[in-house]
Amino acid sequence: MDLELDLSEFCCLNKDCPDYGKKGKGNIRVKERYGSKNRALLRCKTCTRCFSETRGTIFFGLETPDEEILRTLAMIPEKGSIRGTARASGHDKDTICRWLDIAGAHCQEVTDYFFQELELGQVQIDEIWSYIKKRKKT
Amino acid sequence: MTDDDSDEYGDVYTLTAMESDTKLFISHHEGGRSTDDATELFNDLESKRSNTSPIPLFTSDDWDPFELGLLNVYGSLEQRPYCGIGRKPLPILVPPKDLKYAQVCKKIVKGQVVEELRRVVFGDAEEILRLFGADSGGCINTSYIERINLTIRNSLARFIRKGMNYSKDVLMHSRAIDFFQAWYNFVKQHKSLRLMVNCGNKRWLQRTPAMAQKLTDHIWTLKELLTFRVPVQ
Repeated sequence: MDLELDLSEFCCLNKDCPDYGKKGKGNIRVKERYGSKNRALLRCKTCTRCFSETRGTIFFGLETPDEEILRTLAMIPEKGSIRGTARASGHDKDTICRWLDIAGAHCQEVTDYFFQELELGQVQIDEIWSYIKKRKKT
Repeated sequence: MTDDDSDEYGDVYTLTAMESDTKLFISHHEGGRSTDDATELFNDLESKRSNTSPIPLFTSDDWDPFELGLLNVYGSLEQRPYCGIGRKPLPILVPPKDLKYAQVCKKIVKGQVVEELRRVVFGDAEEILRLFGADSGGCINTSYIERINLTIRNSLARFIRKGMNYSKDVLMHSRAIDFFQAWYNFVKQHKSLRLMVNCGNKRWLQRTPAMAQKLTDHIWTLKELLTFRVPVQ
């Protein structure tokens, strides 16, 4: 992790703070470094609450190096099965499922944020079949 | 299937919707094959549509829940006239005038398509044909969404037929599709959306569906997608 942080990209995440969600106010300072990855703990001067620099990303609370996680997750939408990815990357299959869970929830938030007020012309709809655990015999 | 199997086991149909000009994968819904599932998909689409944009032109294959779902979302109740005898008729759902919906019905005998019928369900037939570009050889089709379905089957291991990679859990199934959706829209460059620029050594400008829809201005990396902090609204 680089030690130089662009503090203007961060905003206070405390809902009761008067500067909640406002960027570039100059109220964010680095309080301390924590953890094995030397993450920065940021502090809002207005409401004196602290939050991590990785808050709002998928790397919050994960000990594995970021590049390793990205390389592993990049195999999932390229026809990588969970166990196949586990064998190729050397991580456990439960670990990969946990990362995929976090990444899927994050991606849904990003999609919901961007997909508002869309201009739609022609929309095509279809269904695609799959099954959970067992196929229903007809 | 036995009796002590969990309720969530069994067939799952993922309904998908996409914009055919920009190839944007708009929304998906996992569920069965009922009208409620189609209604939920259309409600999701309706919540993402801008207020200024008109109701889009819908195309699908021959499956009745889509028609009923469209009526549930966009239709309005109308009282039929009372003819004098018997009890009063119940109100029926009537589609609005600007709702346009066309179907492609394929008749399949022994795995071969023998006949293809194109049907306009709601809306004016001539206007729909004009929107599809009938004078320059276009016709009512569902080709683009079928292509996305092929991309899904080729990208996610849990959609491969006759393999051991099928989903074992509903939650992870929808998470994987959510991840795929963002990856497809923001990270993967789409070959048919590229623009010819011819400046210097560069001949093509590659684009993603989100760029074609003017949501972003560059191709995202996976790191950019996964570290994007959603701003407070």
